[in-house]
Amino acid sequence: MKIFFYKSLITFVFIFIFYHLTLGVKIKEFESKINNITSTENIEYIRDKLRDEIKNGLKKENYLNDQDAILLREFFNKIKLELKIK
Amino acid sequence: MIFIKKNYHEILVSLVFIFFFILGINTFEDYGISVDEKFQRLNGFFWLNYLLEFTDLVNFKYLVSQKILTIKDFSLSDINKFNFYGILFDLPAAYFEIFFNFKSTSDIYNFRHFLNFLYFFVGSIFFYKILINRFDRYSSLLGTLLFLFSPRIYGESFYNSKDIIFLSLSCIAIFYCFEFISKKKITDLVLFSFFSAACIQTRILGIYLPISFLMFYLFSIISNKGEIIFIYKYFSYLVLTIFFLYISWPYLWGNPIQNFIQIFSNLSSITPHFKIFFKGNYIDANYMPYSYLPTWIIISSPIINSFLFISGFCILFLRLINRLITFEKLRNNKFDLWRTLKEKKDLFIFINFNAIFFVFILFNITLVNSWRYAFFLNIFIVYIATFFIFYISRKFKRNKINFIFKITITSFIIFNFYKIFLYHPFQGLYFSSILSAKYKNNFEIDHSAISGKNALIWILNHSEKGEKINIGVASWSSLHRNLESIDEKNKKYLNIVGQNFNEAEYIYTNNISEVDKTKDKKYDIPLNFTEIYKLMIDDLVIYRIYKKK
Repeated sequence: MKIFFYKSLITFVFIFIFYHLTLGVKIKEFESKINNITSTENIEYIRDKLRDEIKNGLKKENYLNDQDAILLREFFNKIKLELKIK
Repeated sequence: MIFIKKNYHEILVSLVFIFFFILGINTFEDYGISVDEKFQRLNGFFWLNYLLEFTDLVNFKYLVSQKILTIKDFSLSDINKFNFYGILFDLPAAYFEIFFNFKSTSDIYNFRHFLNFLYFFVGSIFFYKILINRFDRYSSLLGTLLFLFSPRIYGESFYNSKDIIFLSLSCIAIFYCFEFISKKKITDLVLFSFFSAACIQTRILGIYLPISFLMFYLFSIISNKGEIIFIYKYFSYLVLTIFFLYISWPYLWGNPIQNFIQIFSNLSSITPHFKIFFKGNYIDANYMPYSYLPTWIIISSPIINSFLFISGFCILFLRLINRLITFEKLRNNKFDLWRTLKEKKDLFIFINFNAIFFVFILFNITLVNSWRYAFFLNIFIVYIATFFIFYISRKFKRNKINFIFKITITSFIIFNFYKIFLYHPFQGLYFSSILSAKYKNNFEIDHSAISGKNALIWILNHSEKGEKINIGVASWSSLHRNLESIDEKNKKYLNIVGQNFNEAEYIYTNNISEVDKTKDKKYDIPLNFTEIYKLMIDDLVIYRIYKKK
C-alpha cells in the first residue's frame, strides 16, 4: 500500500511536469500567438499600416517599375487571349 | 569556551539586527509611493469604518469617513467591489494614521513605510530563528545576511504592503510550524494556526501552509502508524485556523464560504488584456511563458543567492531520490522520507518550494511586476542556500576549503550590501550584476512607479519657482499617485496632465506600458520635446524626462 502510494505520487508529479514542459509549453505559445494575431491592437495596427501604405503609394508617380509593367501587361494579354478562345 | 563562543555569536547576531534596524529607520523616508499603496490605505479605512459600525464611537467614525472621502480618486478601483484584501497591515496602519494625526500625506506614507519595514524586520528575526534551530551558528548568520540584504526584497520591504507582509507572516508561521513538529506543544500549534490564518488572509496562496502541514502528517502516518495518536492535534489545528481566519477577516463575516471561494475564482480569472514587457517583447499578461517566474527570480536575485540555492536544491533533490529508493531496505528507520527531524524540515521547505512553483503554473496565476506575488519564495530560496552553506561546512570540516568558501560568501554579501547602497532608494528595482545593460533594459523596470517621487522632485528643482508645472506621463505608471509623497507647499505647483501632451511642459516616461509600444503610438514622445534628464543606476534606465523645446 505504502509503495503504491509513493509510486502513484511520483508518477503523477512526473507526468504533470513532463506534460507542462513539452505539450503545455507549445499549447501556451500557440495560444499566445493566436491571441496576438486576433487582438484588437494588432487589427488596428494592420489597418493603420495598410492606410500608410496606400498613402505612400499615392504619393509615388508610378506604382510599377518598367519591368513589372511589361510582365503584367503580357500576363493580362495572355489571360485576355485565353478568355476570348473560350 | 563554548559559552563564550555562543555569547559572541549572539552579540554578533544582535549587532546585525540592530544595524539593519538603524539602516531602515534612517532611510524609510527616502522611498516613493508604490502604485498600490493608496488603494491599500483606502482598504484599511474601509474596514475600520466597517468595524466601527459595531461601536458607539461617533467622533472616531466621522474622522474615518472623512479620511475615506479624501483618499478616493478617479484612478482607484471601487473599494466596495475589491474589498477582499487582508487587513492585518492596512487596518493597524489606518488606526495609527488617525491616532498620530499626521498633517501631510507625505508623513502618512512615510509612517506606512516605517510600519511595513517593521513587519519585515520582525519576520526576519523569525527567519533567523528558523535557521538557527536547524543549522550551525555561522551558516545561520550567513543565511540571515543573504535574506536581509537581498536588494530587491530589502527595497520592497518599505512600500510593498501585501507581498512583503505575506513573506514576513510566512516566516513566523513556518517557525511555529517547525516548533510544533519538534515539540508537539499546544501553544506552538495555536500560534501556528493564528499565523496560518494571517497568511491566508494576506494572500490566498497562504493556503499552502495548512495543506503542506497536513500532507506531511499523512506522510508520517504512512511511514509510522504510531503517529495516528496525534490526529486530534492536527484536527485542532484545522479548526483553529478556520476559526482565526473567520474572526480576523471581516470580509468573511457576511458569507464565509461563498466569499472564500470567490477569492479563488479571482485568482485564476482572466485578467484584462494588458501587455507586459518581457525579454524585449510585449506579451499579453494572460499568456506569459512558463519561464517568466524562474527568469525573474534569477535575474533579480544576487548571483550568490542563485548559486547557493541551485546547489542546495540539487543536493536536496538527490537526497529525496535516495530516500525513495532505499526506504524499503532501512527497516529500522521510523519514517520513509526523512531520517531526522532536521531532514523533515528540509523536506518541508523543498517540497513546498516545488509545489508552490507548480501551483503558479497549474492555476495560470497572472504574474505582473516581476515576481512580487512570489516574493515569499525567498524564504525557501535562502533556506535552501543556507542548507548548501551548512552542507559544505560539514563536508569540509576543519579544512581550508571551508574557510575559503565562507570568506567568498561573506565577500559576496558585502557586495550585495554595496548594491543596496548603490541603488538607494531603488533597491526594489535591482537586477543581478552579471547581466548586460541591454538585457536588463529588456524587462519592466519600475512597474510600481516608485521613481515617481524622485522624478517630481527633479522637475521641481529644475523649473521656475512659483509657477504651475504641467507634467505629461508617457507610461502606464501612475505618476499622479506619487504627488502624495511631495510636501504640501510644493505639491500645489505640480499638475499631472496624463497623455495630454499638448498641455505638458515636461513628460515623464519609463518602460512600463499596457500596450505594445511597437504598434500603439499612445506613449510616443511628440517631436517638439527633447530629453533633458535620464536617471540611470547600474546601467538601468529608471526613467526619462523630456522638456518642450
